[in-house]
Amino acid sequence: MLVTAGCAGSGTQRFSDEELDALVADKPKGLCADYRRLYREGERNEVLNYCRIGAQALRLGLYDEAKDAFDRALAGIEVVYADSPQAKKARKLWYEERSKVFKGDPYERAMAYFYRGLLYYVDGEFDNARACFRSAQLQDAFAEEAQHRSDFAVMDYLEARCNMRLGRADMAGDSVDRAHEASAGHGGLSFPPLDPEDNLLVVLETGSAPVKWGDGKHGEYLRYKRGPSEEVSAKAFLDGSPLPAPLRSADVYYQASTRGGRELDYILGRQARFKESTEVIGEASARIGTGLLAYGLAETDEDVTKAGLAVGAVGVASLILSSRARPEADTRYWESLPDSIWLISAKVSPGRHDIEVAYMGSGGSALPRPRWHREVEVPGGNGVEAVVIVKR
Amino acid sequence: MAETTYGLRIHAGSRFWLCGSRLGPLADIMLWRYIDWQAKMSDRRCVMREKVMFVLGAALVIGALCGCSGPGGGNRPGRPVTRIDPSRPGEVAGLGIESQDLEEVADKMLRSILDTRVIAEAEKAPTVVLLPVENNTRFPINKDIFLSLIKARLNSEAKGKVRFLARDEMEAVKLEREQKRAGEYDYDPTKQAAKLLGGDYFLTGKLEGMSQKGREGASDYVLYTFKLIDAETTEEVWEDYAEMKKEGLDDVIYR
Repeated sequence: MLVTAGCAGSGTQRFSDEELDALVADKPKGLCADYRRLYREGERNEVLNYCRIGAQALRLGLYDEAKDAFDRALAGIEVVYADSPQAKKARKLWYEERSKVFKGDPYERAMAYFYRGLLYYVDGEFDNARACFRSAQLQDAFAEEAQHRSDFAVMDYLEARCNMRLGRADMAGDSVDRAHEASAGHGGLSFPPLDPEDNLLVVLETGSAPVKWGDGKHGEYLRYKRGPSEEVSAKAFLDGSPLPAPLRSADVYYQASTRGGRELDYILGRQARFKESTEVIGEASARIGTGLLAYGLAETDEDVTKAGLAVGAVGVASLILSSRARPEADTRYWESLPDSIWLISAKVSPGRHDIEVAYMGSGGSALPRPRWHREVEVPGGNGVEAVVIVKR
Repeated sequence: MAETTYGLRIHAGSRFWLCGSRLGPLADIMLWRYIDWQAKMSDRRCVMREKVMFVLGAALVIGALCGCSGPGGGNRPGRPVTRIDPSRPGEVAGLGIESQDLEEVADKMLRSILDTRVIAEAEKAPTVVLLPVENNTRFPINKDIFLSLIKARLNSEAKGKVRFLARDEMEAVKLEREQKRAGEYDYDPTKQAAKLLGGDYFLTGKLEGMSQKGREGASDYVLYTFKLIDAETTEEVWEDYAEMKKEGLDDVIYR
């Protein structure tokens, strides 16, 4: 009875394999695995999985699917969770951070807005694109140290570019100034000059996502490390001729790692201390109880036997309490993010072109892998540009 | 308070919890019956307490062994589809522009625009062309939705005081006219218009926003302005606004 009662509702899979097959039957082939994961993992990872789907759709050039996925992810990100049952649980000792609905860290939320903004930009909806870049920048406003707040400078630069396309040169100037100011402290970040006559914008990515890990005895402190990567830069070619060198415009790892402490870290730290103290008490009580029990049984002393049982029970209960405390930080992360974002802005002849991208290793030589390739139609009219998103 | 047969005093509604999960009413009843039965076996209160302790200990051990250590936030049960009044806030709320904002703004603009002199006192219902709304907030929105809503409500509630021109359907209208005049389609020639109708006014709008976010919370102010522009003189014959401010702070688990 207890087994049934105690374990009800802990499963995460609602759908059988057959049901999952049916659910993803109408999805593009390259997204089926991500959609299966979405349905399998449910609400807890919904935002994360829609981000993954959006990124994969971008990689495959499936822009409509990417828009839909990012819209859904952003809808989840924008929900304000206050006084929710989960929030109440969070204050309890038994709260496990990874059980919460994933909304992502500020850098992950910002990147979801970044991609959605690029997709609006591709469609020429510059005001909605600008809205996304502004929201992206705002996600970064929670950093503990003031100098790291709202310093995702590429968002300001892209906002400037939107303003330029909207004919708001004054606002474009302000935004680009903010971009340069925000990037001043980050070594090596720069942006292409704003030129309304440019008709090609290439957005490149290198490296892999920042990795979250739990530091401390129980993994209670959330930390970040730079994701492993072979490539350190990239080169782009238009019909075989090199385009201007890409400019490294964002360091995603830097954004992740400069967030500073979270309020939740204090709760997890308290849980870790509780876990340690109950573990010590439990072990000691269990040992004492076992000793008393053995003595009582050997000496047929009923009182000592009972005392041993009682102390042992306290020890067991304490150990159980200790094992139930879950101070580990939530280390779920969006793996398909890059380490760095690079931009190329150029004025090229209108018409159909082949774009290729080669990734370079640490020695400056091209990595032995096929070049990324896509055809692009570059418009001729002033104020219109083709946007190429090279999702890693 | 209630008292079991052998004096164990418990709260009347006492329930058993395990691993943060409620065991359920059946488990409560069975556990308390067992405790009561144990108490019957001996009238020594201390022994009974020991047994209670053992029962609880055993329950905890079984609970711990039964594999409840996975994340507790798996799939929550679903919720049946319910119809929500779009003019009321839903259960899922954010700081962004939501359906009740659209309704509220559209309602205010509708009442205001109908009171304006060029419409209320016009002898002949003026023709209006919709121009795109500019979004200068941090929220990506479907920009057509405001004007579509205002237009639909003006059409349904203004009783012909305003006429809208379907400029977004221009290609289809032109094609239809050409094919009718070419004799491909039958039509009533008395209804033939020499030219397409020109607009008397443009109706357009703008959304401006101010956003702040920090450790104390997030706040978003959105100013909605709409105006009617005379298509001959550029005179702004009507303008009105609505404003909204929302504040919120995620609970500690998301900060």
